[in-house]
Amino acid sequence: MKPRVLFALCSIWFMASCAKDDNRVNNPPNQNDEELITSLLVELSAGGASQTYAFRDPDGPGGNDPVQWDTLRLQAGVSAQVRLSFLDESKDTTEDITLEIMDEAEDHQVFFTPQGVSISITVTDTDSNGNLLGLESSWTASSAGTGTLTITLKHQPEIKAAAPGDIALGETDVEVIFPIRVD
Amino acid sequence: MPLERAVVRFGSDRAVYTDARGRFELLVCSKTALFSVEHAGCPTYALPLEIHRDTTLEILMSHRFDALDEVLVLERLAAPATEVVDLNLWNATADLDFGQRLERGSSIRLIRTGASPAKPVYQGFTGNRLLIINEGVRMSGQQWGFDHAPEIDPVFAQEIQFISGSRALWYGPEALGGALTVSRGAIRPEPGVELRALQTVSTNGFGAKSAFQLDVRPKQQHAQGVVRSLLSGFGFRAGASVWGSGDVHAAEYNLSNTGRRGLDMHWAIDWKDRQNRKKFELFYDRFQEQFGLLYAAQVGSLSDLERALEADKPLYIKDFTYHIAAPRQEVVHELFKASIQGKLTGETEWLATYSRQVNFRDEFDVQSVLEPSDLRYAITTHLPELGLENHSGALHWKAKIQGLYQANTYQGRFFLPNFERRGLGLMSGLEFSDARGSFYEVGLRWDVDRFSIYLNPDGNVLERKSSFSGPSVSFSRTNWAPGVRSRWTVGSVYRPPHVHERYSQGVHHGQFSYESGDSNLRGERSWELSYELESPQGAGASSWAVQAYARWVDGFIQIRPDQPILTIRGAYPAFVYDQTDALLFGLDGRYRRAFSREWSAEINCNLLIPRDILNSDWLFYMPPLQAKAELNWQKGLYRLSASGQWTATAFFAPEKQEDFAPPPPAYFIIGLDAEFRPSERWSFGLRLDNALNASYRDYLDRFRYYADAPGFNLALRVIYRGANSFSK
Repeated sequence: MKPRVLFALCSIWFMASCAKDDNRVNNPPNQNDEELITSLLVELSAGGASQTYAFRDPDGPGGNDPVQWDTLRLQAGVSAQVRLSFLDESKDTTEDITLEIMDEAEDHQVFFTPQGVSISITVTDTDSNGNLLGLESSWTASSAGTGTLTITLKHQPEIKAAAPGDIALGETDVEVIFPIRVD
Repeated sequence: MPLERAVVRFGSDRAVYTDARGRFELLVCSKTALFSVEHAGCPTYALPLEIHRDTTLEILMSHRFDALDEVLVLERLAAPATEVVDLNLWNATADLDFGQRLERGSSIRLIRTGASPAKPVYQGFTGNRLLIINEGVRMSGQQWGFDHAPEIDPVFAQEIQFISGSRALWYGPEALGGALTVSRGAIRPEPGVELRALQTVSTNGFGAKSAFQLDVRPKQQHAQGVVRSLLSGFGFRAGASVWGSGDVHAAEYNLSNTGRRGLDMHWAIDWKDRQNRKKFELFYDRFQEQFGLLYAAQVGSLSDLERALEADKPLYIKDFTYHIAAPRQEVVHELFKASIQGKLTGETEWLATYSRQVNFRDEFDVQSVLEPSDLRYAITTHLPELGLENHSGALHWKAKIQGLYQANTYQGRFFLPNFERRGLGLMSGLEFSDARGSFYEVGLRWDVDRFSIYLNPDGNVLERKSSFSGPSVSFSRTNWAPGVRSRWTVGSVYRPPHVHERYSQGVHHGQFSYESGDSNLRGERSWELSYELESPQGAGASSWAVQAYARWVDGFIQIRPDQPILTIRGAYPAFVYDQTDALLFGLDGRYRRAFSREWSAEINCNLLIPRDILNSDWLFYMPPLQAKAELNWQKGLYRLSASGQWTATAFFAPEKQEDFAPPPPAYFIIGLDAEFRPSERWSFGLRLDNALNASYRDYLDRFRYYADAPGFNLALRVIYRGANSFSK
């Protein structure tokens, strides 16, 4: 090989070594800047009255325990319209993540799993493919009792199943087990 | 008179010793290479040699016969380094990454994270407890994570050794488990050009690797002015490799998002003066790789994990693709080294080395609806060293002062804080022989490390300072009896706790854990006792080696499950770093036998009993019992080998600590390799991995909860190695 070619090669190799990190070691970024889902709000409307229940863990995973974890309350035989909101309340200004879920509705679905209580839940909203979304639903409890209701938001990119959906697919973004009481 | 125990080498093949009658036998492939005979007390005999058929050589050495002779011979022979791989089979794995290549036919085990990153484990030690020395420089990247593989392209690596005792202490304080050294070897010493090139393709993942390396050493000029004679001492090397593959396939399904692609470039320059008194070297290597992590292993909650464990195949399987999606990692590692070596007196050499390493790692998580918040680390390490080495008679003495400056910064999601580490190490080693022929190695090291940690929990920067120091010491004695070499090693090694063990905090994506460091951890202190027995190599039809070792580690740092934390994803597994006292007892054995000129076989077996003394339990993620066997056939231009690897279930998995799933059952996999070397320059090969397409899961695979290990693979290779000497 000609020495000139070799030199050209070496200089390419050598220049590659000039990449440097410009971040200063003693000036780290704020550890709290990450976007999180910290809160799940359940807004129940029945007979003209509405009530909002919540799960709130404003400092995210780890640290302090959740600060609010309500018991959902329903009247037996009364149909309730339910709207869910997912929020990031870890920063000074609250961010509504629900809008982003609606933007990516084709990749998400909310699942409701009651245990110990008999509630019929019908999802009333769909994504652009006609699959269920679950941000809006209608709940009717048949008899009084106590139990739990698990609300699960799943991320199912390209694998979301047709109605009623498949909770086994994808990974969980939110999973809150709410205690529930039906009067 | 016959010269016993001279070291005979041909090219890079295994060296042999001459026997009591001064005879040697080397099994080599047809090629041209440097043939050399070394014997203490003689000038080294060397010449390039072309071998095409069975050849008998008679070599007359000008041997200085004196009373010290025998002692000198033994000093040369001590060679406590263990060759971890069989270089005859090294070509066969040219397409694989560093860890996977090491694993073949050796006692090295791997901690894997699915199909991509593989981290070497030796005698139960890995990460910060096992030094990896790349081209003479201690690899300083992010070796803490189970999913962080060493950033080394091994395609043209020539020398892979495991060193222990004082020789490992020479490189760093953290060598509790010894050190693995890897090197591409020196630039061609004779004038001429030498080209190596390689092309491989493989069916599992439909991957390929291309690589070349070119060595050039200009013709020696005779004294024609100062400039010319200076220039004539130079040698140059440049090389590059590029590789890539798509999704890997397990026996029964596609492992979605396990593709990878990478690029490595390196160059080196060396210079020697005519009298071989001064030597100067520059080396640069840039390794870059990106790879996907199995999508099905991305679980967000315990319910997801339960569903994944119940399913007999992953819950996310898509068609094969080359596309690499999140979760994925991108890694860049740069290594630059400059070293200069000279002689103070006839017997004393000095060596100054400076190296700089820059390591970037970008971890992209599946973010769903949230803003992408990847985790980006940049860690820069400067290692200046100054050493002295003295050979006088039977005594070999060396000393070194080693500095270290390391800075780590992160961007994006918090997991590990910014930190600076400043270290100073002093090391001294002594090797000598006594009158009865025993050979001794003594190593003593003292290290001081100061850490500055920079935290920013709420917009205000906090600085935490800490400092650790401790001595490390090692002593070994080697004896030769007829037909056997034995070696005792006792030692104690200190390792300061690393920043990740003290200050990590947060969700470790891909590992499904919330990890918390403990800032009160103290250093680890290991006490080692090891005994090795080995038959002399190259003598007779069979050879064997056995090593028994016990290591007591006071303050062994491990990650232990804690009470799950409560999050918006439900209960989440939490892990904390804590310390225990550990006792690792192990037995490694190897037996080789040549049945005839064509047939030979080898068996390798290693057993490790890893005890957590304080908790009366077993240690987490330690390699289970494994046995490997290999049958080789070689005739003329052809070589065939069949190998079987049996791995037991993990009998010594922790019983009190909770694992997500019980250890997987034992498994057995078979591999085959065929090689054809039509000329000294060309070699063609075919390898089958997991030839029976077995479905299995390995205990040391962090993704064994979600998917099987890769299935059948057929890899084809073409390797070229040609040299042209300018003198012809």
